[in-house]
Amino acid sequence: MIKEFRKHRMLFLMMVPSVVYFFLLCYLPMAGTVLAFKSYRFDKGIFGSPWAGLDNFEFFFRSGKALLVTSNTVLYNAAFIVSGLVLQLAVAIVIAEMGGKFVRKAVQSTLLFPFFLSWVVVGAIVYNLFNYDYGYLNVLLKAMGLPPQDFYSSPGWWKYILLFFNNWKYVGYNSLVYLAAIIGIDRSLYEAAAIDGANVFQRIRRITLPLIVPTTVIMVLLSVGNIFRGNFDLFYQLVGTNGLLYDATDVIDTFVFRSLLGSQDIGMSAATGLYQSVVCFVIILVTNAVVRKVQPDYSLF
Amino acid sequence: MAAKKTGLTLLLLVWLAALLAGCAGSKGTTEGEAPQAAPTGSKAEAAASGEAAKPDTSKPVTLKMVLISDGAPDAKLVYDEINKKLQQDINATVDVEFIPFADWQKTYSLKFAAGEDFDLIVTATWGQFADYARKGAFMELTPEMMKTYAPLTLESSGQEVLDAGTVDGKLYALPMNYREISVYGYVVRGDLMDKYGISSIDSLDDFEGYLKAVSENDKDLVPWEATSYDNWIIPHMQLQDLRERYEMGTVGVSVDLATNQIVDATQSDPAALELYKRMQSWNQKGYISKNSLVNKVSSKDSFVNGKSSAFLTNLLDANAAYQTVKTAHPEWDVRFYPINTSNKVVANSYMANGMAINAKSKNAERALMLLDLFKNDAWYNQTTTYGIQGKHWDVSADNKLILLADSPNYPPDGTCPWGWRDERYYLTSQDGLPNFDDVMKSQRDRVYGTPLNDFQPDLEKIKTQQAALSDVASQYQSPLTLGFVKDVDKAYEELLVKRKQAGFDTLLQELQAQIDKYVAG
Repeated sequence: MIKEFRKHRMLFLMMVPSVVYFFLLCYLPMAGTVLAFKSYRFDKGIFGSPWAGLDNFEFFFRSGKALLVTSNTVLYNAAFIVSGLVLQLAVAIVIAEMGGKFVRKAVQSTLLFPFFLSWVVVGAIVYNLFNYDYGYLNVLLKAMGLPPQDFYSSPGWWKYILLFFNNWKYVGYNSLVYLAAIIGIDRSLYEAAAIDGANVFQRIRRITLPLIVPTTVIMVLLSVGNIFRGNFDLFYQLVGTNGLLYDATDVIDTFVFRSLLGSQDIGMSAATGLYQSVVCFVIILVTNAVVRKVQPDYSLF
Repeated sequence: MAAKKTGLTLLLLVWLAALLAGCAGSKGTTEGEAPQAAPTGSKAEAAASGEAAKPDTSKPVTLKMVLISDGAPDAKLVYDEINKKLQQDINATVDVEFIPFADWQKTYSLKFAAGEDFDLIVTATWGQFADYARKGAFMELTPEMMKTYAPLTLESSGQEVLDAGTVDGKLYALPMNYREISVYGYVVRGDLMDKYGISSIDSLDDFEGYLKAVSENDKDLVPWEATSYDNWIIPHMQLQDLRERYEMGTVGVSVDLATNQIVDATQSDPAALELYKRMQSWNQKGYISKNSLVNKVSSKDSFVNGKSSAFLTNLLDANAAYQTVKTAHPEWDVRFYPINTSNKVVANSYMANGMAINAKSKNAERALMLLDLFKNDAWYNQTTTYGIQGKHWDVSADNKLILLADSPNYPPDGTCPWGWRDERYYLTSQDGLPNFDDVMKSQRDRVYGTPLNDFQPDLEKIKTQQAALSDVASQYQSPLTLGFVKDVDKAYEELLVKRKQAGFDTLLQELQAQIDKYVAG
């Protein structure tokens, strides 16, 4: 152990910042989870406040919406993961195969741009596209002599709208990871394939895809670990306080936000946070176990 | 990734809160006792000399005050001026921190949870005053403290006022010394009314007539945007105020003024279903904007910018809109019609605005002295409210407020001086709505004193139901009140079922029990 430490002392030194970071920001705050079982008082603090048993969990299940919002959260995230994976891989491969440097940079920058927009701005864009009175789409429909669509009262549309904007925002950024993996592949493999007469699709199918599977598996595992956490900004900024759409668009995070905005009860929000964490933890254990069974080299731990 | 980061930050905050609360907690008790100990010590002297003891201000201190406002460009300038005088008067300066309106609830509760070091904070019934007081956020202001450090307030604020700041027998905040009445009404354009021959708007039918005329003739105007605030006013007025019921605080339950019994208007009053049906017809005929549930631009802004023809608001806000429009579009001839013209009026609790001292404040005595000055000294009161006299505002011969050229840099009432508003120093504006004074007088003449005015329900036992119901209101009630549903009867039934499921009956029972106890005691 000590020998090991001596041998790699520079490496260990480089690790220190992230160890400190995770200790301070991830491990120490875990003590705060105790709030989920407390009736919080400002003067007594987290540890001095009286115990509340399971009272803080009650509202989440009493509303009768626990099942709906949980399944919405999981389904939306699953759709985001699957569609994101396909699109990001496709974008990364296409960019890697592209010839001209200028075109490649232009495409990459264009795709990356939405990532830097805040969800608030995206929310405004969506509103200006879809609103009934002067939304861009409805103006277009009216100009073509078609009846305007009331998107904000039709829950059916929102699955696709949300899916589209989530991918639109993240595809450029997340494809960078795959692009890096593809660029890391030994060029001589491609040259050999070219000499053997393989066309571009065959090269992608036989070389690129198999060699980036480990990266892909890790990326998927990481996102599956968060499948019970809704992207609050996405859902809140795009849907807002529009009750008509809730059944189709409500995720755990927006539901909790709305329920507790009036009462500001720290204990109750801690309780739902804990619920999400525990379920996420179980999910990631299970997925990892499955991956390990299939291909031990690709699992996270 | 972003979500994960926010999660981490939150966890860090919680952790920091824990640490700080731990440290500050131990300090807080020793410091907290000091102000109580001091007066008892000097009580003997005071009794001997027959006058209140002089507080010790030999040590200079800086007080931190937290207010809810988006600030003003000249706020620093104004408070620099105030600090010069404060230093002479009580050897203290005040450092103001503004919490922006957007998401203020979150920041506000974190101020306490993180154990931040500050002395004064604004609080109000609309900011869950009693809830925070019960959870130990505010310092109790004992009679001894009040006598020593806030003698002027004891003199100027009647028992009625102080009672409003009292929770479970202890005084936790100094309410404003101002009887506030929220007068809700329709704001419409006089030029359109004249054009369509509408003489006055005295009822929902008249308003409907106005919207109808506008929607049929002015195609480029949205008749009514009906965003968040407006869509609360219509059911609130039609089902509570015009039927002599009083809606308590933020729990969404109203009480019959005569009997002090809770009335569930949504379920038991046929007027509710009728109202929802009317709203649906408005919605279908296009009187209400199809965007009203999602629009982020307020009805008022839309009206002021000439995009819509009407909005609903309270008298003060209407007055502000009137003044904004007057210079740019005098031809619009903006008018305000109060909704409640003949029924009883329940004034707001004095705790509709107030100031409290942080339970962990290290300079509670000096903070209380500052409040005493702000509340009872005309110069402090008006400077914090209107800015520097001669630069931002002035006063006319008939004691009305004149806004000067610099006023937009420190708008009247704009930087949250509400907590120390006082009837003696509060000025009405010179160039406001022509009927402002008449409307106000008519309301004041009808004020009805209900014992429930200062009732502060204890929400701890019903917080589960409250959370569930707040979600139900958002999902099922607000589309109904704006007529966004296809089948009103079905949506109404669904609302009742969902409310029941969320524990509405338990909430009613608990609140009624608390009311009965309060009224009897």
